[in-house]
Amino acid sequence: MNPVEPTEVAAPAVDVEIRRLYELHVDDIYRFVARRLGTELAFDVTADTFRTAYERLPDFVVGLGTERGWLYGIASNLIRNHWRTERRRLNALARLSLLPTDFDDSFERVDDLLEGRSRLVHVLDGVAQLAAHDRDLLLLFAWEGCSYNEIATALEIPVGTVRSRLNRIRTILHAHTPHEVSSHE
Amino acid sequence: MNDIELLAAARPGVDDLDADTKARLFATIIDQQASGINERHARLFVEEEVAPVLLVTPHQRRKQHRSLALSAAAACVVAGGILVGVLYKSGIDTPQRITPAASPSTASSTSSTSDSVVVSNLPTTTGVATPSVQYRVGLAIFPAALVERSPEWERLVGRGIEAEIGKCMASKGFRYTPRPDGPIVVLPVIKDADYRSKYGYGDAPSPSTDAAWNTWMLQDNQPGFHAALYGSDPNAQIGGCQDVAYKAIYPPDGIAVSSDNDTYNKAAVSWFAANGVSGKTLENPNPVLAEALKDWSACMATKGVTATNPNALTVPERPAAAPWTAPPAEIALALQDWDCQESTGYINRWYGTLQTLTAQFATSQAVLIDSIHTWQNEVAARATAAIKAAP
Repeated sequence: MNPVEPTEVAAPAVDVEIRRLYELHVDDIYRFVARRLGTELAFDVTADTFRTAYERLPDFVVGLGTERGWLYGIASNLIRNHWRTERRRLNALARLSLLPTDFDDSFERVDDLLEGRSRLVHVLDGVAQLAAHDRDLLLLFAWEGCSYNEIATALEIPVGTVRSRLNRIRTILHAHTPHEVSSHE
Repeated sequence: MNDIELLAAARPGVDDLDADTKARLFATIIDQQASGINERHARLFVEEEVAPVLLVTPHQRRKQHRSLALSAAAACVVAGGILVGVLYKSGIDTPQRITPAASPSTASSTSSTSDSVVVSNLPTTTGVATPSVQYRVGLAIFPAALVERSPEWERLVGRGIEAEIGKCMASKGFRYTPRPDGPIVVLPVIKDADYRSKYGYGDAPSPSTDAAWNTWMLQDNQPGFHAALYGSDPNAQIGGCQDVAYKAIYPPDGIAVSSDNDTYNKAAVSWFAANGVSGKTLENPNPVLAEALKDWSACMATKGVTATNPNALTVPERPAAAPWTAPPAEIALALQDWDCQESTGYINRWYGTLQTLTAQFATSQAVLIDSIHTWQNEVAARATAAIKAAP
């Protein structure tokens, strides 16, 4: 009797699939998390995102949305678990926006820059005040450049709702921005 | 440059992971998966899965998330690593245990803003019809609704927490302006023809926020205020006076959800999955759902629309110039969809199935539900006391 030849055991389909998802999307998901929570937490939250995706992969219906949007949705839920950290980060971003940088542009441009920074503080305050699902939507749109379809998948809402909610968010942000500095909008 | 463009321009830059870190990260994921980690995140997702109809009619259900009133609740819901999903907002004042009525309905038919829906001849999972009942959407359909925290409860508890925070901040020498109440907005669960003719698949407009929020938000510009309120450990989930307030209001340890919720939610997920209503797939659906979907799809086909379920409909793009207004094409589709849902009995069959399952689940979990209600009542009592004690 011949000794049994070692054979390569095929990886379960879910393992193959999760690796494919990982290779394709890990950079996007990591950047998304890091932008919102900082790099210290980004490793863990990114790992949790893909671990959760691993668990839920059998239930993911490909035809109902985009993979990347689905992963953003999982990450968004995990990020909400760290709201306090995110709030700190938004505050820090607002403070940084007040710091002077290179003023090698025209005076007119500098004025615009300063005005923009002043407004940004209020905008970031508005972002911090948004309900969690609105903040997810806004930052997926503004920071991650997600399409409406991806956002719809991530947040499990119709595409039309993404648009209408984004408009409502615009209104909320506008209400937090002093009118005298945003009047040129 | 508008506000969103300004925000986009301020996007923090982040370098990609290097190859070694990527490999380590992937190994971590596999290790975590193999070790069945971890309870904290299991809590996070189970609440979503308790709402198994999401993928079938998401546009009918996500309304619970839209209230600006929830912005206050949302800021409070994360504590100790637990996301308290207040998923089911209805007009109901207090949590109640569902008791299917045995008498015929006396209510009128569905209306655009009503949270009541008449369901007749509800099919059960075994195909045996139950008596006609009237139920209030949001109470009877989902297990989570049985233990839901009403908007009024959330507002009361929010005020209680703010009162406790104010007391704590005063003890540290700060004058704290409590967070103002947001408006309570309740949108209909079922968006019928009247609603759809106005908003399509979108939302009805919500009231805008007011200046009181700005006052609340901007007060942490005071030196030391932020640390006093939130603590000084950037990695802690909660700290400072916020932590003190949570512990004062939420028994036993400041976690903003009953410890029974985990057990409850997991049981609900299992119950629905066992009855052919899975959260994330339409494979092997409950026979009643399968039949309802089939009829709905056939009805839509007669209107020239091909789709297997309402969630699979392709909603026409909205013009970029006016994305907040439903264009005629979207409204037309939404009305066709509604017509088929109504004329084929999809609404009755689908929500009736859910109601039946939920009622059966409620009976089997009565002790657990009572325990959660007891916790909610205790929280409300603590909040009331805190508000009364506030100067």
